[in-house]
Amino acid sequence: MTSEEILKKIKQIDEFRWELPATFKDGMRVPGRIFATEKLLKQMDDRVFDQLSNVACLRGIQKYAMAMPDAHSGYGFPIGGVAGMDPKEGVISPGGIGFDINCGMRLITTPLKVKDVQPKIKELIDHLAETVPAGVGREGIVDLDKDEFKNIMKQGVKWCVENGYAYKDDLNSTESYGCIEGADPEKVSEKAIKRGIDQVGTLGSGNHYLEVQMVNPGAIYDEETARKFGITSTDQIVVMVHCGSRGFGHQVASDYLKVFDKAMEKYKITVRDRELACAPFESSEGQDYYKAMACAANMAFVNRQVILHQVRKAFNKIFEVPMEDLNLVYDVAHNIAKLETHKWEGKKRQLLMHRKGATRAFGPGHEEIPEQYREVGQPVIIGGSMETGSFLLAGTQGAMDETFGSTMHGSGRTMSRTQAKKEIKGEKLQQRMKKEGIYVHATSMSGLAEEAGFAYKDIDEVVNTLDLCGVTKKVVRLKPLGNLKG
Amino acid sequence: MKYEFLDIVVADIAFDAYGENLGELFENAGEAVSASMIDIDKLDTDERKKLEFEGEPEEMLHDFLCELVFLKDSEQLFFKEYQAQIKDNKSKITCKGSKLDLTKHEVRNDVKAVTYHEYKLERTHKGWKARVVLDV
Repeated sequence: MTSEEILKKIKQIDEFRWELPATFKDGMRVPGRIFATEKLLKQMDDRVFDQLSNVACLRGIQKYAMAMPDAHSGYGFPIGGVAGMDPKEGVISPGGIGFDINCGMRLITTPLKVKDVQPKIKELIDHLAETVPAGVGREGIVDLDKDEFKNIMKQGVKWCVENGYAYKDDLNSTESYGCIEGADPEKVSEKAIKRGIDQVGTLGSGNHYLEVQMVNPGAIYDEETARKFGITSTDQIVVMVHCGSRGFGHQVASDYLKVFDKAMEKYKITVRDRELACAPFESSEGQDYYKAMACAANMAFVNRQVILHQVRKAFNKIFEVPMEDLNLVYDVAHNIAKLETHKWEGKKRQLLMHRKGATRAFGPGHEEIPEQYREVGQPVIIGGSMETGSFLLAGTQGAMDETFGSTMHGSGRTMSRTQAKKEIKGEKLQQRMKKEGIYVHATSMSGLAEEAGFAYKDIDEVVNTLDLCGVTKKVVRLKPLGNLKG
Repeated sequence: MKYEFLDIVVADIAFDAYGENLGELFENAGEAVSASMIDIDKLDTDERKKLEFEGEPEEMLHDFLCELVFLKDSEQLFFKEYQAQIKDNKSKITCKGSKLDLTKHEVRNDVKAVTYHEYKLERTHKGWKARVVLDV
């Protein structure tokens, strides 16, 4: 099918909603639902629609397979893909979670203003580059034996509180309170342990980063919610962290993809794409993967928490800010599967939510939102490209009603890494960003070029789409000042 | 041609590897994975690893490439030379390279995984060809 033929089959519902009908492909159990402006829809590569329709064929999928406005093709699921499965009838698929289990974002507020930080931005970022290991081959800052690494897998951020890497309040400010229940280290291979044991407290590479940001002038959209989230003025400095479970999670995902590849025959499951390998959630293979995935997810929460500890130390050293004055606004996972209760068609039902390049966005009043935010909705952190800026949003009742409490995760690529490198050299991009007032420390210049702003979709259009749909509410727009690129 | 990188995936790395026989295909695909991760010209050959796999050739190749990604993280080992013997669904591969030295080596990409996306190993009229997509 050509792009035109595919687009003809997609039915427009309104300005921001599109349906990929269940007749698009044999075997679709539900339709696909795409949230996008016409421009964003046309920017999606054809594979997004193919992959979305494959997801719609999975056993146990409910309501519709969703693609968020930042969607681009991935492996199995598209990135920006969301699917809720009936846990009794349905499957779990590592392809709906991604290789980087619990890749996610966290946002930290500081009491500092632009005038305090800008003159020392190079010193700050270079110091962070020394104290937060980034890139390949840099060991983490936590020395662990195997038993202690298993404690991290089981306890998540609680381990950090007990070992001096977190304050108690940090637990409240992390999705699932920093620990996915059910983690069982016995379900994790020795290989995964060997790959990840030295990586706790490392940023990694690719599109992972640590960014010092300011609140965009005139871009506090909802003052009351912003205040609840700890943002009080437009020149306030905040810090954003984007990374995941490192080699540990990558190995867990790779291991179970092979397990599921073999298990499908046993459960008489066929899928159109090997990356969609899956098993019934209640089967032994499905349960084993979930328990191993929870281990990787908890390691990722700890990884980001240890990085926060390093950020607190850096601000304390350079600006003499007390460490406890750097507050974690929230930490969100955007590659994960979770058991959640959702209400639709008048009934409360448990669902196994798959979010791959998609973020949980629970609305006001939800019992899983920590008390301090329950009135305004869950904080949602959306990372844009290094050049363009990022957003802090709040989940809404609209998300609960329409997307099983889910939203986008970032701006989403439109250009391949190879093409981006052809368009610009890393050194030139670094110079250009310097002129724009953004200091970048990169471990690799070619890696930097891959992350150029033009390789991504327009973050404002992506965020506005779901704001206008009533799925997430804009609270604050953030602008980069300094970036440590992994 | 031993291998060529392709611009067919939005966020990641893809390549086709070739070989007149399966052994050569394995060697060239291994080199392509190495070259996607590091500048192999700057690697020494002071470290040696012998890897063995069993199964259908397509699965052995995938397992072999996964092992290279695993050794990158677990032992910071990168290889530039491969010698592969493949017979009766068994493979023995000797890999030569060196431990990562950040003062000497330039890392290109931190590969997360060898995917099954478009993955295939097939016979061609000249020998063998594999398509591999790496998640980075």
